Amino acid sequence: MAITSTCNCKLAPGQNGKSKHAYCSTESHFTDKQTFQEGYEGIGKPRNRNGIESFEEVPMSVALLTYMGWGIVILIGYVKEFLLSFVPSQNPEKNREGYAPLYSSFESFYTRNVYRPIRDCWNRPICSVPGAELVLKDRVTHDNGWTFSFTNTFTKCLNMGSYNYLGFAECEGPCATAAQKTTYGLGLGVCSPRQELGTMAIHKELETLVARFVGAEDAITFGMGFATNALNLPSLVSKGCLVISDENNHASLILGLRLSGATIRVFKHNNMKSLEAKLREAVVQGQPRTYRPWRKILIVVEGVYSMEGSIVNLPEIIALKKKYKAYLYLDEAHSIGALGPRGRGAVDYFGCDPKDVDILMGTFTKSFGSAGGYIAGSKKLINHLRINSHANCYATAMSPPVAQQIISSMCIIMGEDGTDEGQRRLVQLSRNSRYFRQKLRQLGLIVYGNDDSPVVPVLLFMPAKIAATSRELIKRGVASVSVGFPATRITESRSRFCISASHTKEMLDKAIEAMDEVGDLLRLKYSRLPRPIGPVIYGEDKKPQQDQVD
Amino acid sequence: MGNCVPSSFCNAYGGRSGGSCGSLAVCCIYTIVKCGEKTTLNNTYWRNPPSVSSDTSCSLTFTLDNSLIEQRKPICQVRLDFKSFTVAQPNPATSHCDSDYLQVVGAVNKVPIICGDNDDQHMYLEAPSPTTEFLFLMKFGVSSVTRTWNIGISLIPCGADFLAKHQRSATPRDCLQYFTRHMGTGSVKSFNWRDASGMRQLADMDYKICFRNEIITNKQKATRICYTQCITRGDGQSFRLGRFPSSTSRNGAVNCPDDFVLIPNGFNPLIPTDVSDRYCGGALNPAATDGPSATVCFLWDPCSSDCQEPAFLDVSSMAVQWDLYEMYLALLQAPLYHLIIEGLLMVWVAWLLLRKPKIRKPILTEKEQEELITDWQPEPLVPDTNEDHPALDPFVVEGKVGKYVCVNGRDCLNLATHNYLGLVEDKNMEDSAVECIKKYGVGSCGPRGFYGTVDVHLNLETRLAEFMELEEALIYSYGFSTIASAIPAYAKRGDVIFADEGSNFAVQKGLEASRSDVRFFKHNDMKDLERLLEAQSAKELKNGKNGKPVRKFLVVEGVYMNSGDICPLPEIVELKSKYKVRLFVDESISFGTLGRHGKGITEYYGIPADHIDLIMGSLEYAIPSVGGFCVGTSYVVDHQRLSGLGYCFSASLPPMLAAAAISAIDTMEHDPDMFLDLNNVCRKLHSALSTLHQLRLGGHRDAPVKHLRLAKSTGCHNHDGQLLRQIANESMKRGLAVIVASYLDQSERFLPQPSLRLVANRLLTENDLDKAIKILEDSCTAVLS
Repeated sequence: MAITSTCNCKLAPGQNGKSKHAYCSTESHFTDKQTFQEGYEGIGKPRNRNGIESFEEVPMSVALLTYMGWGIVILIGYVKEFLLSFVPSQNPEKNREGYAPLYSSFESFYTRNVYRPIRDCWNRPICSVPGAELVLKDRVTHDNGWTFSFTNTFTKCLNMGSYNYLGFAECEGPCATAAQKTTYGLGLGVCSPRQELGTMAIHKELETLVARFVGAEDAITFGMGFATNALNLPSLVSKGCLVISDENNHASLILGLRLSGATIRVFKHNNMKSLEAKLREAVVQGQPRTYRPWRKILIVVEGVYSMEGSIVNLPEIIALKKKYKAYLYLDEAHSIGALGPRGRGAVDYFGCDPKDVDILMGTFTKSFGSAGGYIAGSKKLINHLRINSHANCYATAMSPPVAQQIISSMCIIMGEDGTDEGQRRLVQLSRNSRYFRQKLRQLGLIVYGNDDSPVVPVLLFMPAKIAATSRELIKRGVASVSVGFPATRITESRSRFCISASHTKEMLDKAIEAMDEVGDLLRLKYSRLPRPIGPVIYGEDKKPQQDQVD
Repeated sequence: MGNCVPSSFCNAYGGRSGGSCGSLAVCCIYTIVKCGEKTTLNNTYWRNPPSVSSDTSCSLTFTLDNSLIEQRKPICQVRLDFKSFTVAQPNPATSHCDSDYLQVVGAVNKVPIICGDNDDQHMYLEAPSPTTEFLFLMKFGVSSVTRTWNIGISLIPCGADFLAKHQRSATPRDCLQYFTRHMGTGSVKSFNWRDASGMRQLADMDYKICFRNEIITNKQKATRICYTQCITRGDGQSFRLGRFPSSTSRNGAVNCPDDFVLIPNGFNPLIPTDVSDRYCGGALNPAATDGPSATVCFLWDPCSSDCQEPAFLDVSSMAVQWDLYEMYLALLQAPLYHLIIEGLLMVWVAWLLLRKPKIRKPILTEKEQEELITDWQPEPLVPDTNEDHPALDPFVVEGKVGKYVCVNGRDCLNLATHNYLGLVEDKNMEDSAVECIKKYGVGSCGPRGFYGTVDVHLNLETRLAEFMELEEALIYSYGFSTIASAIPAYAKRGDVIFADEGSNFAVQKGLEASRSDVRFFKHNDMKDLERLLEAQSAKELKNGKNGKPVRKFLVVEGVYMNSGDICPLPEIVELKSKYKVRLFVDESISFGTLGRHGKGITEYYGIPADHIDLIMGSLEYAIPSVGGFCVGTSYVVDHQRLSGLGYCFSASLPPMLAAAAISAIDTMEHDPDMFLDLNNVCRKLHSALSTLHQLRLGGHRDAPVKHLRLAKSTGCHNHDGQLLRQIANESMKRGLAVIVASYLDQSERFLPQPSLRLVANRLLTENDLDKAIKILEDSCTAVLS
């Protein structure tokens, strides 16, 4: 039974965890609940992909304390700087007298006084494959974070920090073997951009495979995920075009858009009302001052937001895009491989037609355990990029073993290696995500994002807890990522867990136990929502079902 | 009573502060204690000097002039308040003030000459015109009396209503004295009256005493005014007028021919038939016959004052008089909250006036909006592409891209890829990469901050820093992004960047992302660079010391990708130090190719690397891996770990590629002769290529990148490109891989001329070079002739 012709009605995640709405992409077909139901029944069995998206509000007292916390941090910094101003300071640079200072004062103030004392929580060196577990190379600081030295001891931790969603960060197995073989066969470096003499047969093979995987006519690949966004957006939009971008979009998208010269407007995170208002205004009002109509409008969103854990409301965005004749750029960096019953990203998760998304972008860094990025779409789009993409023209082509790793892992996900390993990993990831999220909720922690998202942010709020949580979790053998301002809003410091298919239930239980202890110790259990009652049984809820299409 | 003025005003006029009034002002009291003074100030007090000797005089001149700042309104009346006044008594025989007296000169109304005791008396003086002078003259005869006086002088502007508040009438004219009293009761004394024995009446008094009709009960005005003799406590008599011996009343014109008080139609309220006008004698009584004292009343004619006066004040004329100075004084006296509210109102008004007129968006109906939405047709996402574009059908390489390369099924000698040191075929690099895969897998699955830092990365950074003999290195996961991220990590909006016109595309993108003010100088033209630097420093000098120091950057390439030229580093360093500009060098090509040990442009020129603020390099050319790096002092480089967008927000370099790069550095350190070999090949290739007739060689002989352009350009950019592409294809067929340098024609800032870009490879032998030249010659001939 084919359901790919249009993105038909699915239950999509309700906003703010309060409501579930029925979304119709093709509004002309289904205008009310009644016909929607008919249409829905007509398609077949509903897929259980109605994860609830939740962003519990900050309790007022906590918000106040958070601001106070930042105030104290800044105040201590100023006092320190004031006292230090009496100490005759050395110019940190040699032979640069009379030069204008290289850094702005606030920037370096923040780095010196806020970031530096808790610097140990980031850039922790590892010396193992970043799989389900990783080995940290221990380091100590004797000068409050200015420098580190290695102790030559090692700590094995459960890895909840890497974007190893499908567990393809492996040092053995078919993927690693194939990559080794390719290294000897095709070498490492290409030393030339794709447009010159850097196009190898393996690149062609990869692009064909990617196009097939995401369900697009053609695809083009690049050596770096960040550069895929930053160096291709300028060839897609330019002056006189409008880009409507989600407020939480990744830095690479923002950089690419900035370089493009297009007008950028931002809509509230995953908020369809805000998006529609912006779209409507743009089409009705045209360009500011001249009132000339926009040349084109591009909506730029991500599949899974890496700091929010939310999943894009794709069906409704597609409906809006069609209604207002805008184009859609979907960055599936975190969702490709990690979402959907077949691992083909947010498009697959909602059962939408990939052709409804004009530009499908994604990276190979995360689920495929490799590096690089792709853009997939119509033949015409990809041809345009092959000619006009900055990266295709100037940047060096992808290293062959890196390409091989993608090909191997993608084949496994597609089941073309002849095993059900890919399917097993997809199911495992989905079970893990739901189990871990529900367990954390049950502990009373505020967990942001969609129930099905493998990115699990736990809110800490207060600045002092950023480092405390990270350090306490490491003590308990769990490596997680803590982030605060400027990566998040100032009140919304958080700790993030990335679920992997390589995690077993026992590993997750260990992490949950650690988080329970740390939550009590640091008073992180802010949630005032009713907690899920009863045991959360691993793997019981809603298996992603095998699709009947392929 | 004083004037409420700013304290500075008060000081300027020699007054004395008597406490604060209003928010910013003081109650200024101005007192004159000298004789012969002149003054113009309202509320002046004139007091006796410390000693007043007999047979002298003392005067005060008061000038009225409404052109003066302190008298901004025309003055019609002046009131004298005798706070105290004691001079010698009049002549007991004649009642004339023979010895001492006060004479007022200059008033329109008749002002009697007074003497004796006149405490608490007052006088109104009519001013003849807005500009006049009053002279107050005190004359002292021979007497032992201690003379004291304290006379307040206050000015009453024309039209002032405060004396006749309830009557809405102008100040009564022609009244020497005017009494206003709340509730309408009080006592009236004649000049020199005192509760003491003796004859105190002054001669030659002829003046009017006026009373204001007051509101007394139920907001009603009085209908009559009654006079009753006061009861004295001492020896004085409360009513005595004329030299009559008895203490009984007298009235009427016959009985009181000379001295009298006139109360028109005065009557006794108890005996209404007793009516009289003139009163004298020892008691006040309107009865026809002499009698004791009685109350004398006067009926207020309801029309005498109210009806004849204008019913309303002339507001417009008041408004004119309410001028700036008055406003200023009022402002000072206003309470603070009032000022705040007015201030806010003013801000609001200013905002209303000054805010940008918001362009009112046309309000469209739902239907119109829907129509607009239906009508709007966007441009296609991408324009139609030229199906014949070479980028759509690139050469496809099978196998390794080494010295020899299999292109489209044909083995070619490779002069196209940037494999300068020929390390693509290096087995050690491959081994270390494979070893690394066995330990770490392929991808790092995270950015450097979030468990994407593998010890291999740290090793590579250490090795690079050591190799370049600098403090710290940092690696990026892509060569292009290294350059494009490093520049905007430092240069921001408001900074100035000087850059070469021949810069490669990554540099251009970095400049663009920085949003700084970019100034391009002509390629490798130091004169032009100095001109720009000089202009900038002149501009800074003009701004003076107050101007914020401007961050200035100079971005050059060691070897230019687009021309094969080497930058004149010694001159650049000199200029950089002279003009205090930070120097960033893109060593993507020069790293690993120039210098005896491959340390790049600094070693080539023998200039210490610490003259350069930031060296940016690539791991994709001389070291045939993937990625890029920045190297310099820790102070500079470390900043990118938080501010380099491509560093912070990108997954880290796959460890296997980092391991391969380490292995390449090992090889480079182990076998420095390879740089000599490469340099030999570069030079040989250079001289060989320069023999070509139909192609013009560009680039430095020591640079590994050479550009060949058509010796005879067709004059058309596209056509030149086409011809060169044909030459490349022809060469490819003959077994030599060369390519036309690819550029995005629309996006390049200064589009270079089309060229064949040839790359020197250390492994090329003389035979290889001969073969290459032969093929190139043949291809040129085949295509161009």
